[in-house]
Amino acid sequence: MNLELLQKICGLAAPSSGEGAVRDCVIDLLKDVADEIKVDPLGSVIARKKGAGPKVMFACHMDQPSFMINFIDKDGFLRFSHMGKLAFEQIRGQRVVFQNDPPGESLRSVMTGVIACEKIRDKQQASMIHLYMDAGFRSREEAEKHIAIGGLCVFAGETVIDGRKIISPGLGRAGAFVLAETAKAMQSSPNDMYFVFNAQREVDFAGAKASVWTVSPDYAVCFDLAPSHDIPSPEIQQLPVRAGNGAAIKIKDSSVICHPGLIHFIEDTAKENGVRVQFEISESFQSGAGPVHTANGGVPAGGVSIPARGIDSAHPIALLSDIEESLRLALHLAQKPFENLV
Amino acid sequence: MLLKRLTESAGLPGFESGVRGVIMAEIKAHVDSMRVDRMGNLIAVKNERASGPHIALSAHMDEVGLAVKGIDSDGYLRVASWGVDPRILPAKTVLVGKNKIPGVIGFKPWRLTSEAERDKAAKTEDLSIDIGAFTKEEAAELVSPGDYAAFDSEFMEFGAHKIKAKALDDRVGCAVIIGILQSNMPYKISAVFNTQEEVGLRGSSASANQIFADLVINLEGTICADTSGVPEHLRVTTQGMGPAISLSDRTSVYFKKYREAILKTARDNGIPCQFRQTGMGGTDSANFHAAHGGAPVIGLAVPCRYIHSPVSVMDKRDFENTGALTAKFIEYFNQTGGLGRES
Repeated sequence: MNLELLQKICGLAAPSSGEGAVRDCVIDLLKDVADEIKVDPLGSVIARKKGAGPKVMFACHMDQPSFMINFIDKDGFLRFSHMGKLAFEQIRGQRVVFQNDPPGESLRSVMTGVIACEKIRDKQQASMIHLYMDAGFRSREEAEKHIAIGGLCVFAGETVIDGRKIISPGLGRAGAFVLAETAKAMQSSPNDMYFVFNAQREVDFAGAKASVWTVSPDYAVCFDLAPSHDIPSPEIQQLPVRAGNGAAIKIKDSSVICHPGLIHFIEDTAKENGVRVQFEISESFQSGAGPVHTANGGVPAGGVSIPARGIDSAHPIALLSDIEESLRLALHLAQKPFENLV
Repeated sequence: MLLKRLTESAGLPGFESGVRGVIMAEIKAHVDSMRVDRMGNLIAVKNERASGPHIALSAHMDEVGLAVKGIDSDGYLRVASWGVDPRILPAKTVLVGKNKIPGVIGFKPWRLTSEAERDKAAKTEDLSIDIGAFTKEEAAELVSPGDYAAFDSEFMEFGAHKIKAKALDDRVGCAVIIGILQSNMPYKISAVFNTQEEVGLRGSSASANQIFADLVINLEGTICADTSGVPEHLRVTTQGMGPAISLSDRTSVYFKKYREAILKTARDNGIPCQFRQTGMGGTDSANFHAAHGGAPVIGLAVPCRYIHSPVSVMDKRDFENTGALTAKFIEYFNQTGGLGRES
């Protein structure tokens, strides 16, 4: 597995609506292997590898949990809104890095800040509205020279890969890595393959909602993370996903019940090729497969997920073996005819 | 005055026909086509055959209010809320159903309340509407479960620039669009007046798929907490500072390119404007943003204090400036050939 590329894709910064760096990277990777590449109005990348069979869409996303500056006070402290499912405890105390502005322009300087909480008497009452960013400014005027209202930032943090695992604020893009590698490695496909790298997952899946209409696929397989349930917890974990048990074939999450035809097709493909798989049933977790399966009068949809711990935190973690199995599964799926599945 | 007529019509989610009628009468002579879809959305097109970029303007017709769940044995109406903060309900007057049966939202006498009850707002399910009926049967002759109860609140001007009314969210957006349609602009403009926004953006989930525009401007009445004791960073918007440009909300993020274009239009024309300084809330923008292939959306809003109450308050200058900025931007967008198509 190309760990360098995994590190690169996950290590880029791509706040929702500011996915330029990842978009450029994906286009660069696929420009010589795709028959067509287009960027849609929301900034999603749609890459096609033509084939005679049904239209099959593999979808993933490019963005990550992110923040937008919406207020600068007279002392130069920043207030923000967040995009993505982030809880107070996960945000407080974290370091953030601001996006270069305009996106894609070479680094002028990397600006960082810290998310801190107002001093309030009753600590139990502290909530999102008490959080602010401290980027070391001393006045509104000084801050405004470096950051504008509407400016974007993401969690700061190195993307770390060792022999077993990856930890990265952009881990959600492991799906984009899988898709890019699949598109590059696959031979001719019996399917008309569309590899879709969606913008704005963290804004209610806006990118996926828009691009599924453009592609109008016959079948869709969505690649994303899934929360791994093998974490220390006083409550009994009744859900099945375990990091290290392989690629997770999605049965359901809170936004979709996958089409049985696709679930079986994916499972059979894994068995035929000795890919290690498990099944995903997630609660209070949504995926791009949600808006995709109800689009255009209905799209039979399945999903392949990479188990990750701390999925809604600044430093989610996944095991490399699971990413590798997901990539193997994606590659086999892309080259197998999607025939008579429904 | 148009805003008075709009805010004094009732238009609870699913029952927008009254407001829709007022709007249709206003715009009929100024548009090429007008239709009502099966969700009740009103879609009109001005200068249908004009070439050049195509902007769609969107606002919602519905307002928050109550629905009658049932009638109790003493003739009081039990209610469910359509998005109303329960703190504001007691001691308000309402008009129930098509026949506008007057009623008041009653409450428990002070001497009968417990210590605990005095410290917190009554829940909606503990409140009831008194329509003056003596028995269940008497009440049932006047209203039935499923009828809506709208706030009964007169349009009022006060202070130097203020207007108080119910339903400014989003009749003020409707009024801005009506003003644009009534102007002699030569550009192709679609106007979408949505139903059922307050119950989860439902009307626009159907209308967005019928509109093929290069850009959508969603016009709203929005939160304004510029009131006594609220720190500056929690105010969201401030009255008198002009239309509020959306940054992001729960379901949309507004593209920088278009935010900057509208900001530039405001500056070039000396129109005051501000940012909507929160990421909370959700508007019909979400559906237009993601509909068929995706479209850029601009969110513009008139700041409304005490929103979702019978006494929402706006500043006339913000309303006028929202209209002026929308018109100037449509002109700019057309003159620049749609700012180029990519996002």
